[in-house]
Amino acid sequence: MNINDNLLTHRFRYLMGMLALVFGIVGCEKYLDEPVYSEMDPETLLATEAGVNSLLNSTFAELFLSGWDGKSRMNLENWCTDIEWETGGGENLIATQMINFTWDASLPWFNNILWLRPYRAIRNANLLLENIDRGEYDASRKATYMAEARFMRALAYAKLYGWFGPVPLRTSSDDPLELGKASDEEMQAFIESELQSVSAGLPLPGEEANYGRPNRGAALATLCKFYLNTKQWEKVVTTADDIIALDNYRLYSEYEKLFRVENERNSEFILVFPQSPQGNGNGYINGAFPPGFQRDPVLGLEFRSGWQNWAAQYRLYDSFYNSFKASDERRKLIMTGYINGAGREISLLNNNDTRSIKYWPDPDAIVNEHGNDLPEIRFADILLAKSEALAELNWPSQEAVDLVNQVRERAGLVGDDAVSLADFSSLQAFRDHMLNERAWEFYNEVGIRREDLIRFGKFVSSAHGRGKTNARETHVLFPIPQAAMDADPSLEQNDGY
Amino acid sequence: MSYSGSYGQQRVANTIDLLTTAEYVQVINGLIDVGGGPESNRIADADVVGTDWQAEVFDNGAPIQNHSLAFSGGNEQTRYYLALNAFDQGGILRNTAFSRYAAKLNISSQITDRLEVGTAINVSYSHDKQVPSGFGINAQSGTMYTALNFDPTLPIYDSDGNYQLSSFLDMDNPMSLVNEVLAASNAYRTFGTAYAQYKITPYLTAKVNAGGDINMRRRDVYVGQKTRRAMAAGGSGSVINGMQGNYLLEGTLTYDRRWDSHYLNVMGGATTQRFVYSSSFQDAAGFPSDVTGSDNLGLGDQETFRMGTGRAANRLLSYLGRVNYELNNKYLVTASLRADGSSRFGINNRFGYFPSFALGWKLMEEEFMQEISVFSELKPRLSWGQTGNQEIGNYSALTTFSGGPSAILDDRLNVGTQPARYSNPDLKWETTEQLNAGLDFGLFNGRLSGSVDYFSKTTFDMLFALPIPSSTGYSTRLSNVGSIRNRGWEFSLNSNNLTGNLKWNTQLNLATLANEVLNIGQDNPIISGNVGQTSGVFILRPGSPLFSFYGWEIDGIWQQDDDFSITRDAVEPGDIKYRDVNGDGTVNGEDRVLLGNAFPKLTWSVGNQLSYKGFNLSIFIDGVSGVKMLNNNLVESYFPVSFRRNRYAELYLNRWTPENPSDRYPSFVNPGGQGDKRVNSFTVEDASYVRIRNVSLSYQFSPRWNYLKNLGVSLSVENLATFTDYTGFDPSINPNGGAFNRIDYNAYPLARTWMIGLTADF
Repeated sequence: MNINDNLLTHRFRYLMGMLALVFGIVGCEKYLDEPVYSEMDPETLLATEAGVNSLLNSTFAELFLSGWDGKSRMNLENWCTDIEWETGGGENLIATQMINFTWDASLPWFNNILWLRPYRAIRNANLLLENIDRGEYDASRKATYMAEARFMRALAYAKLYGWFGPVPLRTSSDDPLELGKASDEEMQAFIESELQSVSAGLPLPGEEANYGRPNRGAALATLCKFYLNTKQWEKVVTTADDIIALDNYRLYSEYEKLFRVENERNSEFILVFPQSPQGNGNGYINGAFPPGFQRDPVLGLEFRSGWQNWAAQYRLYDSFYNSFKASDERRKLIMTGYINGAGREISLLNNNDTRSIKYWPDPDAIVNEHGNDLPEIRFADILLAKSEALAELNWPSQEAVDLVNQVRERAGLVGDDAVSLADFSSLQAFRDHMLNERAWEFYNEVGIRREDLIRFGKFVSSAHGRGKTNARETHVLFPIPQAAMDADPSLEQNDGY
Repeated sequence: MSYSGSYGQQRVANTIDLLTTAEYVQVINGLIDVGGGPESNRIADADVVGTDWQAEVFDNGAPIQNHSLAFSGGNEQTRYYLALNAFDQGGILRNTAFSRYAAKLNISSQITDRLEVGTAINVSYSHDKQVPSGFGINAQSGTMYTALNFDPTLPIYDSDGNYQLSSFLDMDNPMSLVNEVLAASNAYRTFGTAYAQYKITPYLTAKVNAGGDINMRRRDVYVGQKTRRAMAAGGSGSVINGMQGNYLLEGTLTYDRRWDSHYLNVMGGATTQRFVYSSSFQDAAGFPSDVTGSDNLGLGDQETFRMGTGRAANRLLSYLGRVNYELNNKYLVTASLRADGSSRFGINNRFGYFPSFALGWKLMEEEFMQEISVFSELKPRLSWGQTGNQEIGNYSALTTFSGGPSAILDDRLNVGTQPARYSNPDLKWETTEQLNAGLDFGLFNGRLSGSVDYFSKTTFDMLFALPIPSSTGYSTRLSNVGSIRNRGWEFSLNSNNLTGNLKWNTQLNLATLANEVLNIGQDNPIISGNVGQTSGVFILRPGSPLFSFYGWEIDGIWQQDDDFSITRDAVEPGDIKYRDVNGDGTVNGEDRVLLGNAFPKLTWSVGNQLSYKGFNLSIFIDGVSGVKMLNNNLVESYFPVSFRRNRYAELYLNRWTPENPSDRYPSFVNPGGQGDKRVNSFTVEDASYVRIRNVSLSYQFSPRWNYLKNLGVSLSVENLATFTDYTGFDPSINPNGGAFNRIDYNAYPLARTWMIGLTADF
């Protein structure tokens, strides 16, 4: 036992010595360097082409709003117009504020959807531009990635400008943490010069590496709409002509089927926010189905098991439905009655309850997600923008009327239903028609009605006309989100909020 | 050898009083009559039978059993202890269950006079069977949510034998979630330590201890094709495998000596611990049949396959030293210092230094106290110390990229990456400083004993996601900012009321707690907390308790002869009358006020044991008062997400009508008419309660047999009764996690359990 004891003692002392050594070694700070396994060092990642592409993917995904955020952004912009409103569901809390013009800076969607997402896209684009030189690969592809990143950043600022007016203009990761708003001139100059500059560097339509990536048409169309909403009429015309000159875009023949998932790759959509049932899809239809919807024999639509019918009810005003000519094929995408699960026939008319079925449900939808891409800018929008600009520049303008007829013709409004110069006693009469024509053409599309009402100076007055007496000129811009204000003392709130 | 076992049955302690089928028909049609709902929602068949969904989803008679067998023995050198345990519990929510089988082995051996070695090893297997639960709503809602909301006029199955769905409700039939969703976790855990202790001199002991804890878990979920949620997808399945573990190495050197009137114990040591986590998942949908569940995911549609893996780790390294000194067995002093290092912090701030001191005075040992015979013990204590907290994510100090949102290109998802966070290389330990003053006392030869303590605990350099200018693309940055303080009194008393043949013992505990946010590192309050469709539940601002409920005070219900000229809001008689705090004629976000918090003003418990010969009766009662909780299921009764959902009966049967001008319940004609002011003084409820937590009667036999040393039987009941004004299942629950951000939503109900038990020593 004694021998054993000594041996063990010896071993134990050895062990203690080892332990002291271990703690001695681990005593240095390096011991606490824990390896990172599932995340990447940005400098290494962005030195590869695949890494740059992955950052671009997140840039697209942040700004090309899809899924819940995609439909919510569309709702935010449309609930404050004379076309759409909403009842029921959890989002009614947001909807009532938008419908009644009682929103304030604390409305969560302003922050989560309209502010944080574009700014994440801007951050990603800036990081890409700052790190693109780390990698060695094909220079022309590198140039395309840079053009894509700059386009995404400019598009993000164009969207932010449309929603909030001038905002902090961050073009580098090294900009100061607290950054006040840019001036209106700086904002406009940046958006214009960047879009001009990148349109040359982006691939021609159809030549982009993947469907859904930006191309020259998308950049020019974004620029054209920017000029339209800032009423730079001559530039609208020249940019629209540049788009037409690409000789790639046409009006799709059947309006009724344009928005169906099987037709989403067409010659009319210029800039789309892609949606997919596999990930984030177009969710509008879930709120458009009326309560207990089973089928609508007029539309030829039968509810499939597995589709969702939300508690939220996305409704259209009767005044809008009634403003269509009966022969207008665009009206056919509005549901006016249906048969419910119990077999009862229910009318949606005369109760501000008709439904837009523009985003015709996707047979392959997965739960809430339908694959219908959201067109951000269509060729019809470019034609009508050019028409509007021509009229503003030089009234009377036969060409302006012809462009309107080009769009009406596709909607089946030909012959007696076509318009002529004689129908418009004045430029104002043409403007009034243009605002309506754009409503019929673009209802239930992303943000277009709001921009149009604002441009035509009717955003507030039309709200008053609907009895929304809270509406004031202030509401033309959304408020800078409260969370953004709270975190940055150098930000100024928009007037009136 | 000893055995102890118990068997019992559980019942739901209380259900929520929702509208019955007949009441629901009357309320729904009644609301439609007065314009409170769309005509298309009217229920034509007034005599419909329907279903009480709570009764369907609960299992009133779920068994529970627990059996333990322990062996111990050894010789002078070596001792062992072996314990085996089996626990099996059926859930009071149907198709839920939990079982665990565990074994534990402790061995210690005195190898020489100086060297002792030992090990403790625990292995266990547990199986947890669940049904969908949680905070999901509508199409993603869990079983409790659907049971509380589903239309009570519908049957379980339709005429074709499928689960009956409602064309008005965007949710699954509750029973389809119970029967058609298979969710189970199997967890395998092994943890153990081994130590060696060596007496270098009679006063100096060295000890090394090494240990490990490995927890492997596989979670399977299969959502069958008969559910609404997976009908179109053709069933969906997923398997998640996770490993969580840590290993530990520590070495200490202790000097322990008593001489003359001194006692000294000095300990120094070092410890390191590394924590590792890894996980992988696979999901698939579109199965030819439900039969294989999640056990053959490869049978699903290849286009739906998704997978992912992750791995992370962190480590701690600490050096510690402690000195205990006693003089004359009267004066006690302890001082310690820890240097704690964590891999989670910035390179320059990994170590935090945390000292502590404590003083004690055994007053009864003093000469001058000997004459005061009423006291048997009197010991004032005073302590001060600091401790560190590093409970943040693993790599918060590092700038890295991780998976970001995926782009949809060519109609396919293209994986993206983006910055994982706005890193903070200066992150350091959060520190809590606690001051404690207390007194232990004993009276009448120990018949009455207890303690009273006052504590003040301040946490500073708090690890907090501080909002930063979001035009950077980041909204928060983890930072060391702000401080909070908790203060309170704790009082405990143990009284041996009767000590004869009939023994009666009472224990009483009381505690108070007051929390105050001192500083949040910025001027603006931070409003947080989201659940379901409710957002902005809590406010964080200096001067108020953490997680203070923030919403609208309700003054009653607008009545027909009220003066409506005082408001610009579109309100009608029967609408809720929110308080216009700033008197500007409209009730909006500016009118929100503090509505209480979840820090209990008083927490208490009383235990009584009565024993006579072999009989023992024990009754344990506890309670809290001055505590609030947001009842988000009640929120949904006030603000239904859609019209044809079931609701709390009390609200709707007593609702305001011109004939019943209630000042407590609105008319519900236009619940969202003033915006959904969900967090208000009706929905933030008083969650105070008094509960008879446990009553137990046991009898201890005195067996005469040699091979049976002891035998006891018992009958007990848990959660016998709860007295509360709270209207949810259980005022003591917090499904939201965290102790004080209390939101009750779709909580699992409380069980009342009757048990019989048996103990025997052989």
